[in-house]
Amino acid sequence: MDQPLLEMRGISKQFPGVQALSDVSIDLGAGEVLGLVGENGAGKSTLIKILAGDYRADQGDILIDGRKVSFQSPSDAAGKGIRFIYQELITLDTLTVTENLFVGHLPRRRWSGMIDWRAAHDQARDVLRGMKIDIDPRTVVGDLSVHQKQVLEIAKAVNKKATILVMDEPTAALGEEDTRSLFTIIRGLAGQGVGVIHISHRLKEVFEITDRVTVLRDGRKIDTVKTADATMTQLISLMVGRKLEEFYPKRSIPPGETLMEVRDLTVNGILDHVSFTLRRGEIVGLFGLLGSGRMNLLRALYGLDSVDGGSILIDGTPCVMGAPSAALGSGIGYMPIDRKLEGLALPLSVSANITMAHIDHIGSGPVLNRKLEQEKVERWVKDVSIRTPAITTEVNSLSGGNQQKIVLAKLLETGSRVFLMNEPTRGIDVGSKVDIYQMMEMLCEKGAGIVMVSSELPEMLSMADRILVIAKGRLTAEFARHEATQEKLLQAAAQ
Amino acid sequence: MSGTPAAGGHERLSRRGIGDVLLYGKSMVPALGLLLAILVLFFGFMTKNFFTLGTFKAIFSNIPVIAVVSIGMTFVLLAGGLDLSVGSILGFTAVNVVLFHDWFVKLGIPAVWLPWLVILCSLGIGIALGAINGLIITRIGINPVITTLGMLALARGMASWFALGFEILKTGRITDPVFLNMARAYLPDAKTAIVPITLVYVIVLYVVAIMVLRYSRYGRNLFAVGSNEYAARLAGINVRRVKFSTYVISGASAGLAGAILVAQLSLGRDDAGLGLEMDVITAVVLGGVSMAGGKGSLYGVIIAVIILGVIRNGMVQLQAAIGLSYYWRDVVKGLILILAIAIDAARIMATKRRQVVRQ
Amino acid sequence: MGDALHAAPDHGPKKRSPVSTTLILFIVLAVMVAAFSVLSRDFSSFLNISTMLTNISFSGIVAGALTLVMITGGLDISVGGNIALTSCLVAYLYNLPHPVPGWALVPIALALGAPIGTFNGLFITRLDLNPIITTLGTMAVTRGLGYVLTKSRSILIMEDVTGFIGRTVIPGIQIPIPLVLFLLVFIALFWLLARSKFGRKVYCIGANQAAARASGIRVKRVKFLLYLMSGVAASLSGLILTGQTAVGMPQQADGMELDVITAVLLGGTALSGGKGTIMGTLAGVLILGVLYNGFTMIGFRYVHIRVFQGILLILIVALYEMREKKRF
Repeated sequence: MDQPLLEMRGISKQFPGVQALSDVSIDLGAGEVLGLVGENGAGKSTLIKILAGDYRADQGDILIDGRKVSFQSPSDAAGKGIRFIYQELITLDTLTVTENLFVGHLPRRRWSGMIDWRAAHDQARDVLRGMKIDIDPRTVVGDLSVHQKQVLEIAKAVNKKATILVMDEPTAALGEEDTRSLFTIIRGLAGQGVGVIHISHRLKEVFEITDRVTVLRDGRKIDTVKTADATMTQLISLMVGRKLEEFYPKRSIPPGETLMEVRDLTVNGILDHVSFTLRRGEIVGLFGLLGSGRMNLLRALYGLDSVDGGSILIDGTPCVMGAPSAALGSGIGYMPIDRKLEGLALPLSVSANITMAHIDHIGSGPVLNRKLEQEKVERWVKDVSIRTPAITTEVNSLSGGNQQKIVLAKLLETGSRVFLMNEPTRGIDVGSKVDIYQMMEMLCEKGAGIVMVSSELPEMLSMADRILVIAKGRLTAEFARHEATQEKLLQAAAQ
Repeated sequence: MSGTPAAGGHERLSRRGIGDVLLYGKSMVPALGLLLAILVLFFGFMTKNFFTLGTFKAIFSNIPVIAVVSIGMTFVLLAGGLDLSVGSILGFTAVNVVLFHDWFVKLGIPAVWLPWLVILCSLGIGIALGAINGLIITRIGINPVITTLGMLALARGMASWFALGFEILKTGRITDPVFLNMARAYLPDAKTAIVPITLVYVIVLYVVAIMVLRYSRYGRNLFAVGSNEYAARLAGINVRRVKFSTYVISGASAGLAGAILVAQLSLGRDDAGLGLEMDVITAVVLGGVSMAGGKGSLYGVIIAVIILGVIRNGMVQLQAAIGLSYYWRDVVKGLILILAIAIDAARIMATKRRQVVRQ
Repeated sequence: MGDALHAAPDHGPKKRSPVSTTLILFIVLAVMVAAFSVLSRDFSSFLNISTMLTNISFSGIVAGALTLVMITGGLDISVGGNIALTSCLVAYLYNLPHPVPGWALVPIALALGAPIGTFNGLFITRLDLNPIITTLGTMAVTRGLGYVLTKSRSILIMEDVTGFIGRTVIPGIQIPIPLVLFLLVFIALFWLLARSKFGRKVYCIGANQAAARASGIRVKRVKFLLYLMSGVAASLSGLILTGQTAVGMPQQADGMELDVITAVLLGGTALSGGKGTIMGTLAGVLILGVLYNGFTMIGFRYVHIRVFQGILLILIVALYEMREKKRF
């Protein structure tokens, strides 16, 4: 029996408050394309980070060609022939293709030691041609398209004799044709004996390109199946589990009149005439794969990104667009996907964070009314069940779930009527998730409207009254809750 | 293959406006060349004696100091750093040049060796101070702005301290002709003096530096570090060592310039190089070296240095011609600096805008 | 998926240092004052204390405004040039054939700070330029204009109003007016930073600019106002300095930027932003003032102090940096 090229055995990893991985084992053979699928939070990225040497597993081993290895840093993994192509491409944008390929070891002339640019460009041409790519190696990488940069990364990895290639959502930003050519390249590499791990949400593509698929859910490996023998339904049910989680609140509020109307929202190159309505007491889910533009839509609605066309009306009145302060003034609030980046000021206290979006209204005149602030914050801490030693505690020292609730409290303090939520329960524990769902239900009872982006299908199907599917910057489908299924959503999203 | 590479710099110039050339063009050199031509014509028109050999000589004997220090600053900026201490390092070196020269003379060393020894000493001082900068920035991890600001005060203070302590620095002029000729000689010979020898130094140094940046692995690693430090580290480049080396080179070039300055002026005052960092940063950024790192070339820098030299001399002549106070020079310099970084910022924003991606 | 490339896991609770930095600084100050009083008899003389406090007032006013700028992660190196230009302008106007009267000089001087601060603010916030280099340019422009105005000479200005501001000592309590102004400015800034809504916004921007913007805080406007304030504060300081020295010259306040930045950093404001208090800056300004004055009293010369300045700056930042790292 052949030794697998790569084996990860019994990997477990825990973070404060959350067990990211429990006893996960995968194996990859030479020349095989292994798909790695799972919901958001299933543990895919943690597993890959352990393989990359960014994290260290609490338990378990990594074996390459049957021999145990241990990675202290990313360059260790690279040294063993494992290369990663991430969503965020790591390119030297101010330099040429040739330089990116050979960074650190450009070919030199024998006697003078000077770099031989002619040979460098020629060699680069050979490498590119070997992968059937047509780019002039003297092009500055910053001028290349995303697909070309990705192909360059792959070429670089191949050139450095990668034996294992891990690709994280490679087709997220690609069109139909580019995806075809990428798959051709991947097949070519597999044919040469390279093992490829292909991580993707796009199940249709997973069926096209992979030999086997491993499914992760809630930090565990559920199963590994041969792609040829599996069906889409089977895969989906493995990913999400047979029963939908029972902790979602009953959504029983009938939607009221129109609260917000979005007309022909356009951001050049990203969103194309997006229109939809939101009614009082309604939760509209926005579902799309990576690269669909779902996050761009929320950001454009809130004024974080500039808009090139279209309008927003709240209760029939047009809104001023272009800045978060304007959106807040119109009654639109936003819960960002990355709370550490855009949601919270980590060095500041719970108090300061909760009031951050409403500072001008805490007291009349120029003085900040501290007593009023304290009353408000204490009330929110109670209402949103935030667990903190004191309201003066630095937010940095609280758990992810509590941090997210603080972001929610900040949003609630603004008294907004439209809530734009970008993955509201990402990366937090189950208990906090329940709290947040209940708050969302309460908001709907009070007549607010919520637009929610979520890549967790069960959450989407349980919480949203209507689900809009977005792909490539356009809304492609709309489902009412009772008619939506996971399969329909995923298929509509992969248009 | 879908999607052709958007070869920005390969489109014909005639199809794009000035704004496009500036923002998206790969090199600043054409724009700078144009600017230089315009300035020369402007000053030539407004003043009487601009197109003379005297002007040429004046401009090109003023440039060497800034030109040499600009090489060092270019290296630092290319790797993504900043060095505010170059003026003070030059000042401290200048003071020491006088002291060393005096000491060597007292030791009885033959005059013909003196220039070489002095240059060696000034390089040594520059390297030492640059290395201190480099160590603090790369080892202790302190922000380059603070570090070089601190060195600015430190070196200037030491220069003034020495100036107070040694008599020779108060009144002494170096009269040794061999040494002075190091910076004052003309080619081809003293009679048909056309090309100042310092210009030759500058050309030689620039040629060497350009070669290093273009044809050595070290040079290319420098660009990589400035372009994307994480990617460079992943590729196995010793980022710390590269950054450290740029500060050493910057110090060395400031030291060398100090020696040249003393030879030109025949004295080394402790206020030598005061405000030099501003001139140099202006020249380097105007010359197309991006403050973000990883982009730029010395061709642009040398043209920018010449441009600044032309402006300086032009304004002197302008004072004689139309009475415009020479003191406007600093105001003009400051405005040019701000203009230069504004253009740089615009270029960075233009490339960022093209990178926007759907999420 | 879609995590940022290097998203770190949540940290556990952090320990807070029980003793406040500001308190430590004031203790250090007290120790220094005691030490210098012992080392030099003249140090504790009334004249010296008065002079020292007057000098501290100049840099203190600027340091106070700069604290707010630095909390948001910015920097203003142009303050010295601003002071020089103000002093030159005031002296120039006074010496015109029809001299501008004293009571008009004061508002004019203060008004000068506004365009300078606006210039800085616009370029830094609208064009997103590097604050260090931009204010470096402004420094050259303002000082250069000072040279142009005075043709590089010093201009005397013996005038009542400015003299009053710069040199008068309130009889009875014997407090120099500059010190009074300094304290007033400080109280105002303290209130602004610690008690007002605006000050809260400043801290938010410094702690996380992206989060502040996403919370609806108008970051560009706040930062612009801070640079404006810095400009006006520098002009005020320039006015007082002119009154005290009775002269307007373009070399005024040369190298002052370094002192002020050092004082603010010493007071606990981090260069990266988010942290800092007015009281901390007060302590920093006092410590530096006492240090320089004390050193002069016991025989060090200006040049020695300059050397020390450079080392001190690096040391301070290194110390704070190491303290931060230990917390993790």
